[in-house]
Amino acid sequence: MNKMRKLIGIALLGLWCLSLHVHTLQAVSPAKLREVTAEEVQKIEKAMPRRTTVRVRRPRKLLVFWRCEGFFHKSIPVVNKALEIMGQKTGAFDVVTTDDYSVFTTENLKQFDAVCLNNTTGLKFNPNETPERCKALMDFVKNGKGIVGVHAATDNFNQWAEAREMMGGKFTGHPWTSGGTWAIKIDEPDHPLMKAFKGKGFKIKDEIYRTDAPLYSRDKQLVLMSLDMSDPTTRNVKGFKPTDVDTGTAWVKRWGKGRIFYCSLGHNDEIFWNPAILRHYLDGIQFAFGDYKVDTKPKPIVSSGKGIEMAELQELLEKVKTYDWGQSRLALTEVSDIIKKAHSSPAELKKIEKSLLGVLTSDAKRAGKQFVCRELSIIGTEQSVPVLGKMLTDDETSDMARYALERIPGTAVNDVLRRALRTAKGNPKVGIINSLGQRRDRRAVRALGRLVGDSDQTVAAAAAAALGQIADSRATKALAEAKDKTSGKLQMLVLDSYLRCADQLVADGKRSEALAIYKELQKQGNPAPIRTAALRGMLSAAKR
Amino acid sequence: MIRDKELNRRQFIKRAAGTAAAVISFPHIVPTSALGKAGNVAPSERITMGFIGVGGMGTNNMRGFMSNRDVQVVAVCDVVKGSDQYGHWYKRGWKGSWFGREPARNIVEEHYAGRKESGVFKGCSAYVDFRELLVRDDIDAVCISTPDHWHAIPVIMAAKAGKDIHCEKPLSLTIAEGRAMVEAVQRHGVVFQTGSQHRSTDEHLRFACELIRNGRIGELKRIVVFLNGSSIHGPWQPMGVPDELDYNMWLGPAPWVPYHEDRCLYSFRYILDYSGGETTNTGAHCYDIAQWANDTEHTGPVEIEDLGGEFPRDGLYNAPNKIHFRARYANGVELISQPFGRGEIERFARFEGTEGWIDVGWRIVRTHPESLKTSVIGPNDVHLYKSNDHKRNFLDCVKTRREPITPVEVGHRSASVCHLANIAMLLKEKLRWDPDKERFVNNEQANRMLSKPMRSPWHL
Repeated sequence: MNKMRKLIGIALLGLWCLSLHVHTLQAVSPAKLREVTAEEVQKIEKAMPRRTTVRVRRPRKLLVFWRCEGFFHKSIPVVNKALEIMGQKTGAFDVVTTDDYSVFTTENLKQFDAVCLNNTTGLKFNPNETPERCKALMDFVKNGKGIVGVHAATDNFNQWAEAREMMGGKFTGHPWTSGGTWAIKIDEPDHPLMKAFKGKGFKIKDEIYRTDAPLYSRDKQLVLMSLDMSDPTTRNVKGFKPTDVDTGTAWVKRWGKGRIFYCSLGHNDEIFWNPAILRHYLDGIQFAFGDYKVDTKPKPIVSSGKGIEMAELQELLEKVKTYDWGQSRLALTEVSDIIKKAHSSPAELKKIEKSLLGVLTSDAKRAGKQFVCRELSIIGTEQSVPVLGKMLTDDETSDMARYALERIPGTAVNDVLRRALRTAKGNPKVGIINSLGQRRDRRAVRALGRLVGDSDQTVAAAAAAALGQIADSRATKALAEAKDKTSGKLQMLVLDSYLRCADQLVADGKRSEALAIYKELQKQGNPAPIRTAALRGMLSAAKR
Repeated sequence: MIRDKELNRRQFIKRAAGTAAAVISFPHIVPTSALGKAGNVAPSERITMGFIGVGGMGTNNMRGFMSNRDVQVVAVCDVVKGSDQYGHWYKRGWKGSWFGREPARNIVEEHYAGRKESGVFKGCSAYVDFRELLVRDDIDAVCISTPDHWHAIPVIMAAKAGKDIHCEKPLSLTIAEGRAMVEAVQRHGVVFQTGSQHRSTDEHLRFACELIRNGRIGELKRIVVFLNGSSIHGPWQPMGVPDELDYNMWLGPAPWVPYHEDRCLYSFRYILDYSGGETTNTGAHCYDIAQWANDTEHTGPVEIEDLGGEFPRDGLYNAPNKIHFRARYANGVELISQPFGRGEIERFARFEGTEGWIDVGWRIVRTHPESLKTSVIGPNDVHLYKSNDHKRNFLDCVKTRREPITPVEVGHRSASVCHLANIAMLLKEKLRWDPDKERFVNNEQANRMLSKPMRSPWHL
């Protein structure tokens, strides 16, 4: 009985702990917000700018929406209060604060000049389930009003792609947690909305969200500030992915006739008694109202190799140069990740390809060069052919060069293979023959025809097989001649390739030529498997 | 009409091949009553076999085939002379057991010890190079149980030599290799069985598929396969090659890299140069059953999407440690492969239709409605290929020249699902696939991954 009680006790304790855990995870949105303390109010007021940057023509109205269907940020009441004080102190705007969805109707939104999403999460905007609500908000913006996003404002619109695009970001994680201090660089020091920071980067203790392409893109939004990866603490955060090199922390963009201003800072309360940040938000809000006319033109990363990734890549490739089997291959994986991220951009890939070729011409070890060849096999172009071509005749590098070359389309590859064939020996020679066959290079037929008569049996066999892969009319002729000049195992291969030529003729619609070959191969004296296959070929050709 | 006792089956067929008809249509040389009969098996009914790859699985296969009285094993081949290191934390049952060509040869010779005296059994050869096995005229059929990167070349060469073939799953290392195998097998008209033995050993799988094909759960909408990835390997250092292993031959067409004991024997399957990880190891079984149920055995999906597959960032193994993808078929069916947690059905699949669902595990079948479990597949219903013994099915087909339960095209298409999945997860993309042309639509990088260039002197 005691044992039973003990078990029940433990179970109950477990459940209670679990419920706590769930609470911490979910931070359930309270029905009523806590009161901001007098002390906090004092701090906010002290830090608050006295005046707006742009003269207020007429007082504006800001809707501050703070509803959370997901995680509830404890800073929400502080932000609400700060915005209220901001509007009052500067006289620039009135604030209406709510978490009630009913405000999102065309009628109700009319009175506002901008909507501030204060750390909202998982908002119920679904074009299928709440079409009117979505239309109201989208029309509001597109017809010329604004959105101000604070911190978790990008953790919304899972079911509404257009809104995610509008925000220019969607929360997927925050390696830079609220207890850490992170470095931020000002990308647009001369931009009016960055005046608050006086052109200097700064360090801040707050939670920063990851920003993912393609939703977040410097092609689509003007990024005002971002994480400074030259700061080791920021760069070496746990869980850092190579794609995090560009993590924006504030941006503006146009959306229809409307305006979007987003700032990632706002998890910790003290953000809202930081004078520079309050100035920044105030300027952003005035921009969202339409009162502060600022540049919103996105600045795509210029494709001249100055992108942030290239620096990262160069650093990693130095590690690839010293890499050997048995060491950690983490740097190689990171290179692969960067390459993968550039897959949809031929211009970026071309730059990356050039950098990779640099490793092949260096004194990198075999292991590092093989890795590079594997990557080039996927993204390599004609640009890689000369360097790879030079590797074809060397025993140690021939196979890895062919690993890349065989997968790269185009005649330049075939040319370089044929050229190397002239001087290659041993395994490299056989490998080149195999690659020419695999690529079905018709211009190699003459050389291959000669090689079927080579004294090296492996070379001869490879040439015979390659001709069977190419299987054009000249290859067929070469094999027809060779079959009477060869014997034993080699002849068997020649006959098999000759058979494949017949199959190809059938596929090309040249039935009578094919049948002639099948008949020949079906005759007595040919090896049994050849005869069987020839017979099958004859019957299937006849059926068509 | 056999006069000469020594005349084996192949020679008999050769002599009988006086006319085209005899060669092509192979009439029943062996009366059906002879199939599987006990007692001494006449030479003309005996199937001589060679075993390429006699590691753990290969030796298992060999024993299985050998237990059929109409099989005579005359040759084994392996690049490992003999080793007791095949045991692996995944295969505790193999720990300490000896596998490789010499142990295999011993097993064979012991089995046939009695017959050696009578002169019927001439001994078992043990080769390092499979090509020497394939030139033997006295071998009717081969069983290939090599690592995946060593399936294509032996299969194609065996087909060219006119041998019937039993090849382990997954059929191929790449989609291109799979297609090349199909072409060679069909060109030479040999009998081919893919080692998807679950179709034969697990009756409940066929039953589940028949329920689905006969619309017992309405229209099939969704198939969910529960499959976890493989483990991550810690730091490693190149090791000296053990005497009993011909490492260069073991690598074969795969790129040269230094030896480590976890590269070969059992764990080759966790390295993408040689295999496809758990996606192929167990997935080949699961997606094969999914394709069987979905009636898409000779085609494939039209879309394949990564849903968050993960690959080890460091260490020796690079096969996915998390498998998560979705395939869409032209008939609207969705196939999702996702990791499973505790309490979920391990492996195989859950089939969801408009009027019910079926949960299929290694042993269990759960259905909704429950009554489906005792549903009867009637005489006018769709009946799927029935086989009670995968190896016996192959042997019977060698004799009747009929297609076995998992012929080469079906094996190729099942393996293709695995390869498509790995490609999508590696690229982290959503890809469109043309199952007729067997190419990706508008993605050159993905198309380059359909084949792997081979190390000299090997070629397809």
